Amino acid sequence: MKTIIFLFTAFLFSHTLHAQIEVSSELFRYSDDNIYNSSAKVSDNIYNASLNGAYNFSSGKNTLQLYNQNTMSYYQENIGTSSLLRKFGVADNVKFSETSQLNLGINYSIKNNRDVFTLLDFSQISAYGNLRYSFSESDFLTGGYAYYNNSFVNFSLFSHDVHKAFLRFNSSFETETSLILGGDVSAKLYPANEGTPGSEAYQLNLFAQVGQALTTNTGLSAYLQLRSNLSQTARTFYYDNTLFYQDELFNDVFSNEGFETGMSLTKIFSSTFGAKAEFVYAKREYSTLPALDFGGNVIASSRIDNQFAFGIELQKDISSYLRGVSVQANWNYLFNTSNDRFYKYDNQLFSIGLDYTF
Amino acid sequence: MKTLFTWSVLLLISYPVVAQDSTGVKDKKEKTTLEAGKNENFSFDKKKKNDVFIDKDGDGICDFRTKGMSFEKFRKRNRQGLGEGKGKGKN
Repeated sequence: MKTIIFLFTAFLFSHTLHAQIEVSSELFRYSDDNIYNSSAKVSDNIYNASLNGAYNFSSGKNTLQLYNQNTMSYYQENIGTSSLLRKFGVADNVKFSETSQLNLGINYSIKNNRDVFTLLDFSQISAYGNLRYSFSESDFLTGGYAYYNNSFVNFSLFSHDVHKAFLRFNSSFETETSLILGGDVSAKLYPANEGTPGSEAYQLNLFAQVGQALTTNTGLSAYLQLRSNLSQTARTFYYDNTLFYQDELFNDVFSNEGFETGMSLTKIFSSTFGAKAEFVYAKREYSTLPALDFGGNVIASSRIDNQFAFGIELQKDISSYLRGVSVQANWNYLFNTSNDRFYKYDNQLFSIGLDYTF
Repeated sequence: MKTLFTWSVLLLISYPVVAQDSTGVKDKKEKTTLEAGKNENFSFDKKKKNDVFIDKDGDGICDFRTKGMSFEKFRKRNRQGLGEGKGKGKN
């Protein structure tokens, strides 16, 4: 044992350890005319501030990172909706060779809400591992696994585990075309809880994206995502004569299946200024959520939504005035139709903010 | 025996560091030439990176040109994760 410790110490001293600190922060103001995305249409101004720090240890083919992320969302009028999210993690990257590398990580997140929403406070433990293999400089395959333990500290009925396995292939061609093909299988597991038996849901996701350079500084992209529920489960509770679904409260991806498709146009005007416009259409079927009228009566066994979204983003790097700072401005509009009247709404969102990286 | 083995391994590990420190004038000159060569290779690599189209995020623009830009951030922010849902329960 002594020998092992001695050799390990010698190994550490024989390599040059390069430690590097990374700091980034963001400050955004959102003007949102429908903060809950519902027909009730409650508007508010949201201030989003984040501070992130990381410490990197590089040694030969290995890079270890310790990081911390903190995001505070403050709602000016609906203060109870404000929240604080903190994340602590370790990530490790090992380069086995020029063609293959391994990423491993574990992190812990805590989200604290305010007022009545403290019922929805949660903590998450997540661990992942993925292996990337490059066939060439422009073609690579990534496969991996991720685990999430979502724990609701004040509401254990909703606590669950998620397991996810994925495979993704990226390729770029001489025609200045890029292709991304991916797929994943996820499982959501609810443990037995105070008389409620354990249950599980499985979901399959397929994804394809094609990018094409129109000119050197202009790119067009289109994608299609298909999501299918292989099996479903739902947890609910009654409060104040209303039935609440966990899937609905958290907009959980397991709550629905369907497809999403979109196109985007990206234009780089200069090395410091770029713009992006995007259109997205999504159809989602919520087979465990019935469609209701405003009186709470069931009008269809499944809620079905069609959503159209459009967005424009401008980004300007102002490093020449303030080192490491960029300005972003966004406009987003989305229109959602649904057989559930509560979910027939539109939403307009403006945002402007500063992004700082040290 | 164990201790002897341990010291041998330690000596092997630390040897390249000692060797580097004892570089003579001639060696230094060769080293400089090699570094110049390395720089040439670096320039070549840089040029090559400009020429080869690699688009990992699939936006249709060569990654080399969008380096430093972060359009994906906003998209990620819009993709609501756990606890970010908007629904009946939040009214």
